[in-house]
Amino acid sequence: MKHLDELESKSIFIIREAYACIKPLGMLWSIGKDSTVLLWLVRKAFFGHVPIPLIHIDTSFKIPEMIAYRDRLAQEWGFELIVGQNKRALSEKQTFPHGNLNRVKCCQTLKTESLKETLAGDDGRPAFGGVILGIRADEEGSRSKERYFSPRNEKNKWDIYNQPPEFWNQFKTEFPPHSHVRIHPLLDWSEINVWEYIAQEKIPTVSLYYDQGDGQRYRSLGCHPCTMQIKSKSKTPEDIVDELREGPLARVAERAGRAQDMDDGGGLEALRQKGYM
Amino acid sequence: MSSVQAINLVVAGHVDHGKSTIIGRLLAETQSLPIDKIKRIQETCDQSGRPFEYSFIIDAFKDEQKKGITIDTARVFFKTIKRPYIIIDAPGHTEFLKNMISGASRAHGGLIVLDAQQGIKENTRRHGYMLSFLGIKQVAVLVNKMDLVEYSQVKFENIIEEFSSFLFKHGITPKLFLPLSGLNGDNFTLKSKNMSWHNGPTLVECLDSFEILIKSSQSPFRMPVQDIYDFGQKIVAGPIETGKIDERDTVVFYPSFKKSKLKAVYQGGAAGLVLQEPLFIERGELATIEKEEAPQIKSNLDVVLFWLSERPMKINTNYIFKMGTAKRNVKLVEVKSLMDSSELKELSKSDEIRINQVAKGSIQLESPLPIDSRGFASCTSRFVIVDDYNIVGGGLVIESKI
Ligand SMILES: Nc1nc2c(ncn2[C@@H]2O[C@H](COP(=O)(O)OP(=O)(O)O)[C@@H](O)[C@H]2O)c(=O)[nH]1
Repeated sequence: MKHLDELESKSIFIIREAYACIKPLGMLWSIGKDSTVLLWLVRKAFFGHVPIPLIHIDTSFKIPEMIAYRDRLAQEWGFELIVGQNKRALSEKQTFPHGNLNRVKCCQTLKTESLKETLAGDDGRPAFGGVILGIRADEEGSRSKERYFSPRNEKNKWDIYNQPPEFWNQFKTEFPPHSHVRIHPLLDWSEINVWEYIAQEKIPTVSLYYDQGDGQRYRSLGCHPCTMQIKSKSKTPEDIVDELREGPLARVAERAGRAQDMDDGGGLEALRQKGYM
Repeated sequence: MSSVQAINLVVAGHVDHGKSTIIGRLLAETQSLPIDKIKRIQETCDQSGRPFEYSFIIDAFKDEQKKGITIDTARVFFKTIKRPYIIIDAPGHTEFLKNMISGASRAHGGLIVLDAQQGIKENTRRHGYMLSFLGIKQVAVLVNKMDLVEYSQVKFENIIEEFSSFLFKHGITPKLFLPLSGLNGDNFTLKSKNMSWHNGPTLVECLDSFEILIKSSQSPFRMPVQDIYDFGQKIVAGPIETGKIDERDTVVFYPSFKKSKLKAVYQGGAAGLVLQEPLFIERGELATIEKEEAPQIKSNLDVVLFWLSERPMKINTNYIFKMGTAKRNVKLVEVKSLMDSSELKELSKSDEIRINQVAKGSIQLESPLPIDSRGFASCTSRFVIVDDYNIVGGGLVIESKI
């Protein structure tokens, strides 16, 4: 079997296990390349259908193209979209762009808090028992230690010292009340695999990933005040694969353009223990 | 355009014998690291006044660096000219056997690191044994810290003698033993001048010689049913674990013995079957092909199992048994023999199995399941035990002696 085929089958197996065992189930869709590959895999797993709602955490600082693309795809592929937003923090201007919080605190407030709230449910909707996320082990250190099925306690905490064993395609699918599980079908994919798959399957992705003629593009998408473009002339997924394999990006970390990772040395690790994606 | 398949390697060994150093140096020497990563580690070291260590490269957690031990299974990516690798780093502390198993169960091959000066330690043996238990056949033993024993050939050969007889007893014939220094980089990408007596490969050449054992499509078809989808037509969904199928085949489901011809087959990553008969099939059944070897349908199983929980497994107590996608209540009936996985010596008979022990015994399922005791498919031969929401043990079904 080819490598991409093997990655694809494993991910689809995990997605189907989650759907069979965890209820209610949702999926986090950041609009970026990874979670869009995940969405593609969900449609394959369920023969063209998306039987679970997608959750988008909208900080209000996303690049406008991202929101336009989100709404277009939701319509074309016909899935339920739940948009979570920390409206209180936004109206009180408790954010980094307003100058009132540092970057890490801002991520914590606009993303983690809003994610927790959305997962906890509301009047019309029960709390999620599980949520599928598109994180990959090669993105950064703490993610490299994740499980495919990774439990979070009632406070959304991740107990990295006491993770469940996973072997022979058996995962932790039994949970005490009020906890939830994060499911990570893309853990074994590398950044190159993601782009190879996007090229192979012709998956529609946001134009921000490609050079539009000014020799710049985004490698990783986030909020506009904290995400920087990189110098690159890649105009297609195929170009990006070449660039990552042999080109100047072969030895530069993917999240190098994400400022919150650097603020206090271990920004992302600290964020993730408290419930960040 | 698709890339060559990556090899998954599990790295095991006693704590402090140099796993992190070896992995860190491999990443650096194969140029698999982002440039800013080394720079940032260097800066952190300068700030805290510590010398740079290659092991910091993979110690990602802040407080892990404080404790100075690798606490969990981590995946690390690197590539040689030949192909990409995913290294699964298994921690060396005794209480972390479950992480080791999680890592090793998805590996194509294993590396056991040991310290040339310290020699064979508790976890060196335990990990060697678990690799064999988990069915990993390709193993290389990395004899590290050769610089501390003056690169002595005699020392190296003594270790080979002692450890290979141990591994051999447990059914592992190591691919090779390799003398290294993680600290100085001897035998990583270049042959070491300090050990001209050694004429084996370098570490990179050794890794490149590992093979991916191809899943046999010769084995009988086995598909554990994950779910039944009904988006217009009913599709029985599940992964094709072994074998192959086409539309002319007749499928038989076990343990229900229900049978049907096929209307359509979805192959590939999102596999599924559309049946001609309107059967009621549920998650947990096993799809097989009528004309092929049938599994045995059994509820009384002879097994080898290992226990991971502080709370011992007791006989005549209810647990949950999961194999493939099936789930059953189960009781331990009898413990026939018991072994401690670290000391690897036989223990006297007992009515319970404690943490880190491996037992041979028999278990009773509340109702029967399809079993292939030849062990070609994990969905019909490998199981886990769940207690109080957690996976607390695992094992293999073995041939019963009548
Ligand atoms: N002299 C010497 N020291 C080494 C060598 N490899 C590792 N070490 C040291 O041994 C200690 C433990 O190494 P580490 O890689 O953290 O071990 P791990 O616990 O197996 O991951 C560290 O202080 C290393 O610097 C080696 O080849 N020679």
